Amino acid sequence: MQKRSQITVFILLGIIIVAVIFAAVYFYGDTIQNFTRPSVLDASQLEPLKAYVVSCMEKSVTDDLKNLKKNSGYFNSISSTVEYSGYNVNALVDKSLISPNLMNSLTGIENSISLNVKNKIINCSLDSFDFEIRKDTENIQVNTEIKDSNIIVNLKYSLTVSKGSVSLNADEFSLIVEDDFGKIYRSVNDVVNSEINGDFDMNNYFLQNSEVTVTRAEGSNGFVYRIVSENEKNGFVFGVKK
Amino acid sequence: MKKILSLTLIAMFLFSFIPVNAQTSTNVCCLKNKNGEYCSYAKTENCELDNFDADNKIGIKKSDFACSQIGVCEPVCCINKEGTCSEKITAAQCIDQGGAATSQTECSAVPQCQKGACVINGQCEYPVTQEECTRARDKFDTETTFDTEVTSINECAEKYSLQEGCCVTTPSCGRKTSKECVDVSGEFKAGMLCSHPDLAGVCPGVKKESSKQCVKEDVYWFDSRGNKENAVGVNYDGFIHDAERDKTGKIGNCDFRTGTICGQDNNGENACIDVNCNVGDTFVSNGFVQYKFDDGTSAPERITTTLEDLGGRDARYNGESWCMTNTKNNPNTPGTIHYIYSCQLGKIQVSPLGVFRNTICESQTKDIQIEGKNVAFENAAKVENKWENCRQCGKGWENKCDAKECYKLGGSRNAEKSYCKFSGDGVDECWPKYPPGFDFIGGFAVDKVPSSKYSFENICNVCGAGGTNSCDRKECTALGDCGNFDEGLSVLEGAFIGGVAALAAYGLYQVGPVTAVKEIFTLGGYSAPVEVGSKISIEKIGTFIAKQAVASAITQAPFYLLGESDGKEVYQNKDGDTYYMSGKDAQGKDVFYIAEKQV
Repeated sequence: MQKRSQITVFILLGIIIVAVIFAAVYFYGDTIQNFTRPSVLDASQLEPLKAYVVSCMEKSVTDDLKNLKKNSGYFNSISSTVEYSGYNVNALVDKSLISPNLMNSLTGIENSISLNVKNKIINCSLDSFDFEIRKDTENIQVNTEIKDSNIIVNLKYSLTVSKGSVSLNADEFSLIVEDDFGKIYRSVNDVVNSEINGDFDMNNYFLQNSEVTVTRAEGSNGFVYRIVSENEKNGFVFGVKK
Repeated sequence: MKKILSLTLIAMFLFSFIPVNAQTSTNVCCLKNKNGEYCSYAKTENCELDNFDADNKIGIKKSDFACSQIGVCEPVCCINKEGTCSEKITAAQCIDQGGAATSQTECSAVPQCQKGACVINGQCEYPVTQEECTRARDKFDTETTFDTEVTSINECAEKYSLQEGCCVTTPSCGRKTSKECVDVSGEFKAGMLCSHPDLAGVCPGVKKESSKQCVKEDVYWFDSRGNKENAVGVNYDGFIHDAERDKTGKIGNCDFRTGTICGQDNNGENACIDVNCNVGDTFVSNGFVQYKFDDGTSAPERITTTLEDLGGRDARYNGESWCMTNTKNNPNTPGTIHYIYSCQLGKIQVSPLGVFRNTICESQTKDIQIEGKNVAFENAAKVENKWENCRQCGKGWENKCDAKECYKLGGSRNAEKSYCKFSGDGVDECWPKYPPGFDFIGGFAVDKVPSSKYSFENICNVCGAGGTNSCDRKECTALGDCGNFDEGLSVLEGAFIGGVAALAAYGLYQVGPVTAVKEIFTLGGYSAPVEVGSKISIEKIGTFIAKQAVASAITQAPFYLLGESDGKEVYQNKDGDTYYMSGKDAQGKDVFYIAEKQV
């Protein structure tokens, strides 16, 4: 009698185990399958990652351009300023100095943008991606080229993405920002060079250049210029300190 | 009091040991500060030490001396990396930003900073520095012109633009652009034609509107010196009127979009002609020259388009193409060549295809919209003649060729589109729709293995291999260039005629004048049996008549054969007194008769 009841218990136990296995397969089959299936990684899965890196670059570049236009080609206020309507506008010409030309060259601005992109990229968090990502932050290279109507930024940044035993590499990112910065910069250079040698002839310049519009206002200690283009309504602001 | 003093001294002594970073509180000359300014006084910690002078070209990053005493803080004329020049900028800024600091303060003294116009591929840029122009040349790998004499963009455009006018040079005048005229040191008369009355003194003998010529798609007048003038129809006032608005509506302003282009009209003059091809149009055929015996001159042959040329249509649209053959025969007879005719800008272009019809012309017609009208537009193309496949018909397991298989072998179930045509009138054969030709000029040898599929053996020797195993004219022609077929009677015709003849003969034999009929059958027939009365003539020997049958007379001792005619032989014995005739009787057995020689 005791033996029979033991067998019954074993049979019941067996039925329960089978039922549990069946239920597990039924409800969690896909999860189990995914867990046991070898990882697959193809190049298309890198696209969101690439797009994200480019978006980090873009944010850095657009922020920089905004700052550069507002601060006369600098990122911050400098010591030579022209006061206008309560604001201090960076002066690109300070006639009180021995070296009155304070304007950064286009190459200097390009280098500054590149440096900022590099710093931004290092801090651009990639944690949200479901990959194991190895970043080579030591060898980041950024090259910026300011053209008349756009800014081209090329980034070399080695990212090795791994999932399971498969790994892929993404190391070149490119960005083009539509902006008239280069076109406006040319005019700023013309104005600055003219102001250094005397006064800038606005009327003559207006007749010669149809692509940009130069406006000038008198501040307390000099002039404030604003140069706009058809696509850049806020324009580039700078001062000429007497 | 002493105590206080002592404490104060002790305190001062102790404070003297507290480390003080004197530099942090001292202003120095930062060659670059954290704000990006160059040569500015700032606290040491505000000097930019990391991102300055990475190449160590300057050597110092800050100085306890005043900035005005530091050489790299002196103003210079800087040639920036991009080629622009910055005047009175600190050398430190110039060098740090990749520029080249010159020894001059003012850029006007630096040749590379001279401002002027840079002409790149006919486009003016002003003002730019010489250095910028040089860099543009290197960048675009093209010729540039740098001109410091130009003082405005308009002046540059005028001097270097492509604006045309009359260029007066010694000894001639010609229409040129201002740049071209400058290059030849001519005097440029902007916008003027060389036939302008005011230039009669400097350009003598130039007569206006001397000939009409095609310039791109429009018709232009040319002066007597070959200089282009205005489009035909534009009122002459001695000036150039090349703007589109000047030409609009004028007869020389052809417009391809509306179906006209410059070409020779039916009178041989250049004019706006219809791009389509119409019956009656005349055009000059390229490459053909007509010799005029009257005046001994040659002129390009003019061809008048006929209805036949246009494949039976009154007009063909530009770009339309259609098929033609030189023989117009179907199936194609020997020598037939397929051509693609096409209407190209008012002219008919002819493209011959393969000589042996290895390539043939096929066309399709589709309804399309042209200028709002529904038109049947034909399009012809060169296709390979896949005639060989047709022969495979009936070689399948059923061993019978039918129309369906035949057309399919020709590439389409549709009889019109298939390269094979089915001959169903009792023969069930599959023939090429376009019979191929072959090179028969060099002769051919029937015992040779054919080296090409375009050979007599390959093309013609299969004739008669159909169901009834007979070759007739129709099949022979359909197979290819198989020569002049000497057609006999067909099997059915032969059987019918033969049957009628046999019945008639039998009837005559039975009911007609017996002797005459027998004579006809026994003497005239090649295989008529030998029997009494059989008569044969042997040339130069004589005529013999069978008289009496013998059993085996000529099997014995020697006889001489005198001759043979119509399957009958005549012998003579050794003595020369008896003649025998041998042959076969009506049952085909050998028989022998004593024969009599007629005198």
